[in-house]
Amino acid sequence: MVTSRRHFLHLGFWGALSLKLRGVFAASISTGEGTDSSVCLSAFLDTLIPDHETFPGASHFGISEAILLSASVVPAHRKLIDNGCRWLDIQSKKRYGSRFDGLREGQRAHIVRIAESAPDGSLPRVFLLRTLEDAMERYYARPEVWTVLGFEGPPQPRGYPEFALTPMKVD
Amino acid sequence: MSVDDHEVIVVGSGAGGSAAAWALTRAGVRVLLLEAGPAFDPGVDYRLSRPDWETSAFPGKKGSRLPYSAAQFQSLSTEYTHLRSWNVHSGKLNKTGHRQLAGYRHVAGLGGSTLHFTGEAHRMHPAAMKMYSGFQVAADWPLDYGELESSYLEAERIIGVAGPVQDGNRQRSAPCPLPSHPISYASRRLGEGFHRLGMSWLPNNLAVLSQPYNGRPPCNYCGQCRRGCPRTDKGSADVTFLRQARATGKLTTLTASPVAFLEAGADDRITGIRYRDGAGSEYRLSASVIILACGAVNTPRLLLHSEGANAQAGIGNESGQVGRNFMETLGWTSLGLHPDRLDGHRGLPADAICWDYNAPDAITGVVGGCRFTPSLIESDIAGPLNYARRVVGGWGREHLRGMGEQFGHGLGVGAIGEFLPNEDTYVDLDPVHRDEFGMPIARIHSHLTRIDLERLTFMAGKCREIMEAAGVSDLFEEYGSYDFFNSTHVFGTCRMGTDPDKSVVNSECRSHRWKNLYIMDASIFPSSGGGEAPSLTIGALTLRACRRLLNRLS
Repeated sequence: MVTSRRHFLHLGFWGALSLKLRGVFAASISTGEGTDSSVCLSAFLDTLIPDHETFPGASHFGISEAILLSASVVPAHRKLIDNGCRWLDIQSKKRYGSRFDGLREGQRAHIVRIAESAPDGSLPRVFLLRTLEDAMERYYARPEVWTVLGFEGPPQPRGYPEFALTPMKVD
Repeated sequence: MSVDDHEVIVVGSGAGGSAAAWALTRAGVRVLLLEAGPAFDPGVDYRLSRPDWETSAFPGKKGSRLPYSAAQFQSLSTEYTHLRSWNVHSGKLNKTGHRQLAGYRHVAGLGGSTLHFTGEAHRMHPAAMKMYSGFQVAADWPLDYGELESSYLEAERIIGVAGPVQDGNRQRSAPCPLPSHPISYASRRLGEGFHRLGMSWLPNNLAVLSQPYNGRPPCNYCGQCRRGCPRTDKGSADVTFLRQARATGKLTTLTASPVAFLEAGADDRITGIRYRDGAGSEYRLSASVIILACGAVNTPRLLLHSEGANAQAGIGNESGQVGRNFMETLGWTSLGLHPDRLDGHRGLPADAICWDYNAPDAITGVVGGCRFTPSLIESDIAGPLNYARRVVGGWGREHLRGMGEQFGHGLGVGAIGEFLPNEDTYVDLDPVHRDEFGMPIARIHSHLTRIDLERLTFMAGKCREIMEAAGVSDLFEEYGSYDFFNSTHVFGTCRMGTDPDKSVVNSECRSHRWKNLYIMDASIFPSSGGGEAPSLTIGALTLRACRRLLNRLS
């Protein structure tokens, strides 16, 4: 068929993100002493992708370390992570008297919901969206996750020769 | 052979340029093929075995996307709110008050845009080639279906087309060379909706091998044709026409060699062309015959840019028709969740088709047809990542619960329809923006008229009916042409016709004025068809034209 929908939909969902990031990078959070981005980011990712029933959580796959490694060569991204983690710790201390990584799951989820409802282009929202995208890209590239979903794996080299049959995994 | 030792120069290596190279070289003609983009190595460049395959589309390489621009598109009206693109999580995908550019989807590379096509290999509906005499719109083709039929068959045999014995309303002198592919489980479940509405649902005609053919393996149904086929079972031009043309020993190919100018002589002949290499150095070549096959955006760009003392409005533009009559792709897609798990990522992207509304008079009250196919895979709901992004959304336990419940349940249907040429839809040279070598880029103007919007309304409404009849009441995304220009198939900027005042080339694809200039791409289409994919028709027109060209050369 005709339309290359991948590019088109990328434009709608994710393409505008880089524009928003520019504004965020221009601003800097000046408070939040003692924030350890690696600890905070790991806790943040385990809130976004927790252990759930048979789904393994993000921490099983070193996603936090992979994102930090990737950001280490993109200063603007690293700055977004540092500023975002400071924001998480500030919000956590303000509401619960503890850094983000010290909160219970429900408390962390509350902080993430605040970020989610923040205005488009704001630091907490951009940090959430970018981190979620980075995490999802890595998480759903894991064979362990495919097994839980009943997904056979990448299109090649095997293909999907059972394409005409009822799916093996039926709900 | 040196690059100076050729009888014919072909510019562009997509469906038309490759077919021309094949037809001429097998007859012993020495051909130089100039391609602006790079060559792709299927086994290396198409990375469908990687765990992160979903994160990238068809691979980009240096020079594989040609620059273009778009003039401001029309404003959006509340009258057509039902045609706005949306997603359950993102809301409206176009949040502005104007139609936006999503893209002119093309590949510059050896094989052209066939490298990323899904392989649909359609013949035109015979009545869709006579839109003016039949319906007083667009223009008639200066040949009819019957004159093209043997060339269609020849192209199908070179490419290796798999298809059903019956082919809509198209008369066939012989079956497709390969049996049609089985319809996937998900497409059969979608077909239940078509059948409940009394609509047909047939295997689609595809340039994808259902059996081994000419040394190429059969498809293994990974569904990712648009990301490039690493197995070479998809009949893109590089592994079909070009591979066979190269085997003749008569073909020389230069990649990363964009043509920048055609020189017009005083004797109504093209006396030379100028092209650049990757470093930007310019070279001049000449040949007995020049064939342009750069597509409906870049062929008019080259012609309009090549103005000079002997071609003051650009080459071939004596009628003022170069760049006019542009036609884009009119499309609609509805995506939803089926109650049952279907695993619709398996199988070919558009493995079935409904031609019921393809004839120009098939839609009540609207001139111009359309067709329907599955669209889940082509919408890229084909792996966990895009289910996570676009179907389930969110984060945390709720997200994971949703993934567990919804993965594999996606189903989609899409419609592609006729686009009628109008005065406000054309391609010209951008007065401001230039490419890296200083050549003006093409600028697209496109306007949907009321009749196009009525047709689109029908297409969207029918897609929704089909989804519901197939058991899908829960849509998560829809998108279409009303609020985005998003086209792969584009047509019509160098119209083919009998009247030199109203067209650019004749029925042999030869310029009315320039005796040694031919155009063999979709720019010559006088009408777009009712949703037919154009590559097979481009190939057939080219093979037919090359037979006549060979007669002249001999």
